[in-house]
Amino acid sequence: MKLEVRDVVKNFGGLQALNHVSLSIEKPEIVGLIGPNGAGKTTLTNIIDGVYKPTHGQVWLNNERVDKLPPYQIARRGLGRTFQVTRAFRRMTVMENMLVPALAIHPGANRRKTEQKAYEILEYLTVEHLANELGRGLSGGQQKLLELGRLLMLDPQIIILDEPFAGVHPKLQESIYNYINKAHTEGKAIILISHDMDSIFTLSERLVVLHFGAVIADGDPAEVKNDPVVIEAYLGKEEEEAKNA
Amino acid sequence: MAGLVGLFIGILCLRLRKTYLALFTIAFAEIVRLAINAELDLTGGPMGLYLDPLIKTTSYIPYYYLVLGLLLGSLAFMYALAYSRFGLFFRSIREDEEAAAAMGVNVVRYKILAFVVTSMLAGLAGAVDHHFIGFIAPTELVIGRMSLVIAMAVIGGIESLIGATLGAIFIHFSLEWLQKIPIPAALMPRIDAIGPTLENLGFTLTGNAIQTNAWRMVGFGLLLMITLRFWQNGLIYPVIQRLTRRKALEETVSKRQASSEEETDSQYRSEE
Repeated sequence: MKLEVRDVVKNFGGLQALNHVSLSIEKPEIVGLIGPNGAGKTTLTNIIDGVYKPTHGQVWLNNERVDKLPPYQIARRGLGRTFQVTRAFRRMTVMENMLVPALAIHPGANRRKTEQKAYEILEYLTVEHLANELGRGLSGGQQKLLELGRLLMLDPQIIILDEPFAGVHPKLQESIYNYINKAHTEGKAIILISHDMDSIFTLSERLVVLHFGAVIADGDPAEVKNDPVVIEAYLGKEEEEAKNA
Repeated sequence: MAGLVGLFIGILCLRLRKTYLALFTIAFAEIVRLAINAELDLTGGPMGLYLDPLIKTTSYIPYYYLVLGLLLGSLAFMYALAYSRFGLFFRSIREDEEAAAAMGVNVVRYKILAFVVTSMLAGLAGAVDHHFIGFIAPTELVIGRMSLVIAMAVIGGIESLIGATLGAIFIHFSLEWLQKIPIPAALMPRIDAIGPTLENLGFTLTGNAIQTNAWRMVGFGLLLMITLRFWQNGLIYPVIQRLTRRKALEETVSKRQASSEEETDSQYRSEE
């Protein structure tokens, strides 16, 4: 697996959301992506996923240039993502939600076998009793789990999780922790975007810090944590905010 | 034919969403209507065209079975489609286009396919309908006609094929019924007294009934707005849902009772 973001710039009108960002992931590792609000984390996700086209620069996935491809093509090439705000298909049952990615990427798949697989994944996520509920009937945390389940059905090599812990009940948070660790041991690379510093520092093997659309640090979490530039830009600001509060 | 037109429109308005898509399709229908109005040689312009009947008979019976067959056929087709993987993809796109794309669904292809399939069905219905009436004119393309079709789906229940079918039947019948409101003979003198006012409002009095003319459309407009505001699943579909759910509930209750009786039986036996 290999994901490469090469010198990407993204402008929205006069606003530069990403300023010459380069990032490379070549092995199954958990990469924490942090940065203050508006630093460009979600924009970067949308560039990698193909929702946005970069103003300048390229994205390469497994030695193939993908920044001109539509999102569904990138999904079929092994990149899966969740959204900051959960986007379960609300008027479809949990099971139907699970079937969509599997049947979309394997047109010839046997439906019953696929349902069986979906049920096993739901069991793993401890939400199998909800299989016939509509998406809109789930709690926020359950919807997050459903999104993670859908991702497993897509079976990507690289997973981008945008705020997987936000607004999730502590009990379900544990399921998400386990999920990330399991995906990791199965050899998937995970980009983890979160405001929850505890979970980022617990899970990440590598930390990338975005600030005003630029990568200001990339490396071992412990080192990044003590990098003066990072403290200045991000952690320091939080301390100041804490002082002011 | 209609499928091809659908393909064309589908490709044209791929990038449009929601309100803009609706406006575009309305505008397209207006363009077609004006074009037909202007093209006297081919289409007869505003005078319309007389069409040969589909079946050479004066009886309604063959038509009845033809239309019934078409209804069942298209319902079967739509059900098969809705429960196939295509249906799953269509619905996922309806729910959330971006999420569907992130899950590997080729949004563009299925959107165009949806346009083609629905255009084909509408074209089939239009062709049969007008060969039955024996006449076709561009007035078919006014917004009022299209709104009625939308009203059928909305009032019936936009998520249910049966609901939408019943909605269509309901609207067709009530349109016919509401053409005139019959007045009991005892009330006639009073109605006659306010006759001029009624006629000023656009009603006409004929014998012992009030012709509602355009007012029935106002009624449907109101019903449509109220439905969209308060019952987004339509008026008919929730009733169907409630009926089927009650049946399912009764079944589970009776099953539970049966199983609990078995349990108590076995308890007795073990006590013995």
